Amino acid sequence: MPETDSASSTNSGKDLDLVPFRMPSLGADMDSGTIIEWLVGPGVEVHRGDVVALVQTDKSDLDVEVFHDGTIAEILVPAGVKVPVGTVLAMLAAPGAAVESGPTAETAPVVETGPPPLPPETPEPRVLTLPSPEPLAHIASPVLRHLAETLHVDTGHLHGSGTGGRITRDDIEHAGQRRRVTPRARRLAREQGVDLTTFPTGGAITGDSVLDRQPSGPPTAASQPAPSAAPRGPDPEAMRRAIARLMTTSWQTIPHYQVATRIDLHLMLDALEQRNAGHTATERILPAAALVRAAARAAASVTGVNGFWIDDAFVPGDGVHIGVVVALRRGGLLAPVVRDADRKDLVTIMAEMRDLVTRARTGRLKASEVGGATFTITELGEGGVDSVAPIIHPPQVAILGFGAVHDEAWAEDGMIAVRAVVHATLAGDHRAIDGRIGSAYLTTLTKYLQEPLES
Amino acid sequence: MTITCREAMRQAIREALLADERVFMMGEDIGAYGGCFAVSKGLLEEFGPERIRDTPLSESAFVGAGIGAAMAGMRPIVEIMTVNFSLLALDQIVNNAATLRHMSSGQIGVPLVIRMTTGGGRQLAAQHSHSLEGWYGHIPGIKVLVPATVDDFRHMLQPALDDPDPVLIFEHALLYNAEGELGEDPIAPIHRAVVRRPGRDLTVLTYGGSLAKVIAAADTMAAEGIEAEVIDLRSLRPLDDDTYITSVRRTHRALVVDEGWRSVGISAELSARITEAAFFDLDAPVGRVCSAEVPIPFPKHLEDAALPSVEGIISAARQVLSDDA
Repeated sequence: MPETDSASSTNSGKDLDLVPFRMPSLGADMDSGTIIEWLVGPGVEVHRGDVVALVQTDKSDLDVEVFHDGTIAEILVPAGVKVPVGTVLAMLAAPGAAVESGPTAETAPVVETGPPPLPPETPEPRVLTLPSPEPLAHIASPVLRHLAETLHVDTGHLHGSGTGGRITRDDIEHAGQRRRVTPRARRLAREQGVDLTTFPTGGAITGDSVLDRQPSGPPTAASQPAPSAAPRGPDPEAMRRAIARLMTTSWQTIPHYQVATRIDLHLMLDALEQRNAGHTATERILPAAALVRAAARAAASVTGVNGFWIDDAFVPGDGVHIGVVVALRRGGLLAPVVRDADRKDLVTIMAEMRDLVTRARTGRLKASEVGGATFTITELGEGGVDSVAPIIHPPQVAILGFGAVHDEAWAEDGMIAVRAVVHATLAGDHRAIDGRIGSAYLTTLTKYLQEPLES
Repeated sequence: MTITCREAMRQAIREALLADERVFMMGEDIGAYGGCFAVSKGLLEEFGPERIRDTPLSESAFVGAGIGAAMAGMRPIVEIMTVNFSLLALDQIVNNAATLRHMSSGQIGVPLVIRMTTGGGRQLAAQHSHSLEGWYGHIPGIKVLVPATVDDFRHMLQPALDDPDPVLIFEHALLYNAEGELGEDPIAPIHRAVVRRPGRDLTVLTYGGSLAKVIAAADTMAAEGIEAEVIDLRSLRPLDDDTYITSVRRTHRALVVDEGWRSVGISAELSARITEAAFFDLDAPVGRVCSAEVPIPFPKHLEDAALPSVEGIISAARQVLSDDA
């Protein structure tokens, strides 16, 4: 621990132009996150977009970027601690304000112990000291952090018995013993997205106690083996239970309404055929990609369908992230997410869908790839049915269902023609959106599907 | 009809002798004396000394003779007085009976049945009380049956005689006087384990002489709301993995009760297989109740302390069920 006085370090910090770096919201349902690892330390220069930390949410581990240029002045939340979204994690000094790196501050605490500092007119770098690690950085050693992770111990809730409240190896091992997790419980927690650190201590966590919990995410976010796990895929029974819970919640709590329309796809299909003519099988763009893109663009332009109903209020999505329902061959569903689908071109969307669907069917999706959808599309075209009246994926407020594309009699300009037609049905959460919006959505969707392809 | 296991086995032997003239029986004191455990009592009078043959006290010789007769087309039932004495015939069983099918490229089989008593509880001390059936379960080329009920004493012998390879039947001596209702038909093929008592809270695997103790323990626990599923293995080789693994996957907890010793025994094998096949379905470590690792003592209180008991089974089951497991 550096021999500094924390009061003086705070004072010296006030002189600088400091910018707070906060725990970002990495998903509509994220209200807190745990810093797994800091990739930078005090004194390190960072630029907007640099990945500075690894953060664990209920669903996955995510890289977190910094939004400003500058130099890390102080790390306020150490690794291993869970904090609410918005908590200041670190302070950044604006560019130009030099910050001395940690080790130097430790060995040469110039400001505090030397003669009174000179006014900062000389080019000599200004010095920020390291924060005192004791109030917050109570688990400093990577070895202990690793031990805590291995034993599923949430160090944020531990009371350290070491000097200054430091968490010791004994503390972690003791807590780890109290929170023993059975193999079955660990498997179920992984499959159903249940956070084991939220269980009360005392006794082993068993499979039944995990099953008693509602999953912390939708089944799509659950049911995933860890990316490093063998490709055995999710347990079909656990997935079935998760789907059952989610759909029951949806059906019992969401007043669904449905609006439907027929859409003439002949222009789109002709355009795709022309476009695909010069491409190999793997480069072809399938109609499904065009439907997803048009649906995403419509969701972006019609206010109210893209987002969530949370705590009696509509919360718009942080982008148009389309969950695409994939039926697994051995039963069950997953909805991998095409993020920002309204802003991607057809080639990109097609490539992502190919990749996501393939990996969904082989059980190799990452948790982050099935979370965060703001709108969902289900397509039952393969089964040959004309239309589908889908059930909303809570807490989203709408879902769009496509039936198969069939040739149908189509009246236009007083004539009857045979056209390739798809039946689109939008189910809306009537608490959040009225039929007029659903209708506007389908009208917009139809409009986009008549436009020339962009790629 | 209620009969004893002794009577059930005698009926089975008699039926086999009547049905097939290739069947004959031999062993120590089985004829004039009626068998050390009186299983063959009356058979000499009915079938004569050609088919109910008293042998010298040489397990190696008469087991070897049984192997030879089986190779030559007979269907011998060889009785060994207790499993402890079978060790004198271990060379014949392991090096000949178990191997000849393989060493002759399938040309020579040994359709032999060897019956022997096993287990303690009768104050017969350390040379007459051990449970070594697990040892035989180690050996490829033979089958190991462990009947625990009147039905199985009655109905396992004929399928064993019908088997083209050697079958060993281990009869717990305390069961000979045990009574039970005799059913018309076998409860299941001899290689299948059966659920003797359904339950949802934990699976208890056992066989032979321990089954009654486990059922008693399960009944006691049921009064406290704990429903143990009791599986009677019936065969130690082959082991019917499907039945007990399916059960453990449902109950998520398993206890093995075996009168053999704990180290390197059948209970260890079962625990390993459960861990291999159902690890991610377990909510507790697999528990075991076995005999104390001592030669089975002679004094009653020490013998009782050495063998699995109903109280010990209940205590172990509670441990498996507890969150501190």
